[in-house]
Amino acid sequence: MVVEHEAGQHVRIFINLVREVAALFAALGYGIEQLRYVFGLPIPVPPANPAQSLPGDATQQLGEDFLLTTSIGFNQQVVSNIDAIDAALIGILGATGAFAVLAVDKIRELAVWPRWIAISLFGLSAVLSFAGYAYGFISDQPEDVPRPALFVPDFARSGSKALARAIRTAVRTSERNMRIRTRKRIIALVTVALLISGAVVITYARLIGGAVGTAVGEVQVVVPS
Amino acid sequence: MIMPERNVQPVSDAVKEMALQLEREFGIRPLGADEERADDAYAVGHYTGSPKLREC
Repeated sequence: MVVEHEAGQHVRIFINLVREVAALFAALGYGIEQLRYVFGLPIPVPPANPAQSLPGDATQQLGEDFLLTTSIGFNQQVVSNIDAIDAALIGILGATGAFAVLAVDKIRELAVWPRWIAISLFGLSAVLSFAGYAYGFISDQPEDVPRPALFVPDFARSGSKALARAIRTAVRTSERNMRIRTRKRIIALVTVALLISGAVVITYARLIGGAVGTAVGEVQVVVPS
Repeated sequence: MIMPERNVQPVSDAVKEMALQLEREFGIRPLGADEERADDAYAVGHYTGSPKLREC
């Protein structure tokens, strides 16, 4: 049994009292504000802190480096998206291979037409995912801007000329990268659709009895041993 | 000596010296007074890291 000292009990009671009073005042403040809202009275707004407010002409604080930072940041975001899509395409390629290996028995048991449809869908999915991944390597490669080894010396020599050139290159490059991103996204969606379609064909063909020894649409009777 | 344009923020001597070293290290052709790089000169391939233009 724990015996608490009398002074400790008084302190505890006092702390609880302070807490309850503080909560009461907070509730009163909130209640008054709600009553003002209900009766349509104006709610006082605290004055804005001048230290936190923007000056009248905020654009004066934005320089050329702001444009460069914005355009480079946007381009980096697009390139990161392309990296994510590439990873997804490789994942889809791996998933297609794994599914084909695991379902090889199921595919082999299918009748001729469903079997070739499933094989074609899986094959197309694998080829297309690989093509989508290799697309950037072969023809349109995504680009990063700026190349520091060139931009830094140029900026030290010519200043704003190099800055303007880097901004223009970043804007143009980001537009090109966006087109690459869109194409890769479409390819990724098509590959996923092909992969799912292949799985659906296998499942549906087996459900309707399209396996070896049964004609499509014929009911397969299983006799229990 | 590298002289930046008058309308840009000044570059410190240390940065100028570093820029000269970079030009020597990477074999970058220095820009002339009224010269500019070609378009896409600052772009590098994301996969290969190779510059898009070989002019420098």
